[in-house]
Amino acid sequence: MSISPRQSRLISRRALLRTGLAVTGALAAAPLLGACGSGSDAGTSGGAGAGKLTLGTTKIMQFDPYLTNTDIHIHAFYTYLVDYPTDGTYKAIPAGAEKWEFAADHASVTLTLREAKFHSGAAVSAADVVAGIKRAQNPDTAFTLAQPSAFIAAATAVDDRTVRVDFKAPTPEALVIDWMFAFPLIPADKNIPKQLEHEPAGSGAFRLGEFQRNQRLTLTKNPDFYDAGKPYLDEVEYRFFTDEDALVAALESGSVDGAAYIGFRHSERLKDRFTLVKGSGRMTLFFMNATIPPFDNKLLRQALARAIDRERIIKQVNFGIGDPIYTAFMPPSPAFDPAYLDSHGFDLDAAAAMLERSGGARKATAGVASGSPSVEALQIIQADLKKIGFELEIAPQEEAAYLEALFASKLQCTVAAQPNNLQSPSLIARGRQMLPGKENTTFREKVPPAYVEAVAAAGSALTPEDQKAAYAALNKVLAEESWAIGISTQPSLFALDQRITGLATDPRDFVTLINTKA
Amino acid sequence: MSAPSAGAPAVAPQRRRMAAARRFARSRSAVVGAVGLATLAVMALLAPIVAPFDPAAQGGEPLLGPSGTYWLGTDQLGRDIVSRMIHGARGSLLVAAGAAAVGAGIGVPLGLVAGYLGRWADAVAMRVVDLLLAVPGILLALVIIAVLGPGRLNLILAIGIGAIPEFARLTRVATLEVRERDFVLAARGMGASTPDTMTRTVLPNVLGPVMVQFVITASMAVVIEAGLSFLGLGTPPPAPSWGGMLQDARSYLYQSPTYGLFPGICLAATVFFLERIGRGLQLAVGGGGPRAARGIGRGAV
Repeated sequence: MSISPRQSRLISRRALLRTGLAVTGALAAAPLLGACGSGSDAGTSGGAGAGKLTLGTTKIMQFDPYLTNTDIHIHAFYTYLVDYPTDGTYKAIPAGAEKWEFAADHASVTLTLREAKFHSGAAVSAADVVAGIKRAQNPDTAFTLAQPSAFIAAATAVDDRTVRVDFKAPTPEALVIDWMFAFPLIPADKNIPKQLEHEPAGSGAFRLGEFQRNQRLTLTKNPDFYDAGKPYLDEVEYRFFTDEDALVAALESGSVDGAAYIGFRHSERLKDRFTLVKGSGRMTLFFMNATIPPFDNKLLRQALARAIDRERIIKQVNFGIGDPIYTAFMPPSPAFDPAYLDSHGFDLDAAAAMLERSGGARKATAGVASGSPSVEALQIIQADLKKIGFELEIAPQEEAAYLEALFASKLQCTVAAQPNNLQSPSLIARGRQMLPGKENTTFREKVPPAYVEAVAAAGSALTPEDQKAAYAALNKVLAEESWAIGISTQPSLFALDQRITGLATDPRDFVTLINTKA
Repeated sequence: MSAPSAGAPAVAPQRRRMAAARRFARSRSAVVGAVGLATLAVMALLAPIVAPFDPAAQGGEPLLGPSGTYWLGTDQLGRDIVSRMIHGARGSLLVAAGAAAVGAGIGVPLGLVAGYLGRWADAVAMRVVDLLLAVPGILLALVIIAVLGPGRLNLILAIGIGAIPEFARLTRVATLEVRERDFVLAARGMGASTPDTMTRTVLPNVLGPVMVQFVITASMAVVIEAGLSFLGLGTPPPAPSWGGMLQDARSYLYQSPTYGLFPGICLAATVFFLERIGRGLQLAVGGGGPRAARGIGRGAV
């Protein structure tokens, strides 16, 4: 077969392209193969120095643990007084505190700190804990920790490694342990909000390597970490993506080893090629603002609470992931009571009858962050409410505008997430919509006294019998006032390269990398 | 020199219009565009009759494929995709026409005043236009939606305001040319007031390019509306919109690959029809051949 000059030119171009691609491929493969080799070496050597892990995320990064309880990755920099296992149980594991001893009257606890060093090289001391507690009690500088620390009257450094924490009143051990789980160790001289915003200062498993806002964050192994031999990874890099689909595409193309906190919608597509890890997650609730009509009508709120089809929301919005809840307690919580799902669950006839009796207006607008799964949950609620003659409009907003309106108490109703309340039901009062004071964004100064009393009782019940009664009373008042109606748990989702093991989340839904190998 | 007869300017535009209509009808692609758009418009107008289901009714199983009951399947909430597409056409065409009308309604008088009066009026009007031009259209629309909130009327305003500069500049240029023509001078000489001359003599003679711009703006508005709906800032749910459907479909590409296909086709077809009409109009009012019309509508596509 003869070849024309034009074909000849085409062939030579193809050959050139082929050669170019081969060279590019070889150049790209060399470091990749090197990285793989590093990983396998680590695997055979029992995990010490198991290489580098690159995780992609769309979350904004923030380093101050006193100001966030959301799924932002600050955990790796800090040691907390105790840890909880990642299996969802609440058996305290010594961490920053080596041991702790409660006074017989439950009015104080004495903490013995572990001999450990901060990333700066300074020793962890009792004075750091005392300074931290002082900051934690100020809602202006420690929003996340203020309510969980409310039971503390004073903290005293007994010696360099011993702290006595005195309570305002006898306090249940579970609440104190939950506080210890949330309390990070930070050197007193660096425990300043403005400084921590840019630079973490803990004693956790990883140190800050490099941080380029909105681009990448590199964590490097802390050789002085108290748990000898851990973490297994030498380095963890977080890469920031503005779009979740771009993040998943990066995972599929191999440019990141894992995608953190992705939507359920990706699970079907990724499940056969990647390891999917479900985190403990949070809860989604339907909030009704009792300061704005028609939701100032309690009976109307109760009526709408019966029009939430949890099963359908879980199936169609959450892709079958998660469990139904009624009040703001997740299944591991001692206050989780599934009986409410039967007695107060989805029943449009009951909702219609109650709505009729309420005599309230039959129209409201729900605010929501545009593009979030809450839009679909609200559409299901909207369709059901329409059947009983209640018109719910949905007004999607840009996320920043939505959050501003939510915190300013300007939304009539919404679907929003709440963090896990751990093993202390009184921690329900941490959320802005659940605060027991006038800062509560759904009641302002009209927070129901029965709720305030129920939270206080749940936070002070010492015996199992009293606790059972207090939790039942708290559930009762939540059902009665019906401003925060549980929809479902919302586990977080991670998709990881199948070589990665040991990545999990703690009960707060923070990523735990201490046991991770890649 | 004898004064021009009062009837002359009235007869000339009528003849020109007839000639333009003939030229438009001779352009096969323009007719295809017009027929396609008319079909969509009729479908949109008769949506409650034509659509097999209520577009908001969550009656079916989610993400069903095409079947005898649900011709194009159902979406993630069990709603009929055909019905949502038909009702979505309503929103898209309404926003397109409304936004173009807002742009023309403000931009044309602004350009007319600037072009006819000149001097300080021209300077002020053009600086206002420059200000609007300094902000990209989609960004301006996003800001306006963020301030006013989502909703069809706000969408129309947001997109329409962004279209004002094109109308104003186009009208100004055409007015500058027309205001020196004999029939305008004659009208002035016969004692017609400035507003009268502007509205009854100049305006009808600059409407040709404005019509073309109207169609181009409408096609751009369809795309911007879809873009804003795609970002979740368009028509609030459960009202259907093609952009919103595309956004939803993106989440279910794996489970229902055909879901996003049909709203995408509708969107592309509408822009194609409008672009064809725009080219045909350019050909008709400009009097040039198909070559002259080729540049029109590219920005929108």
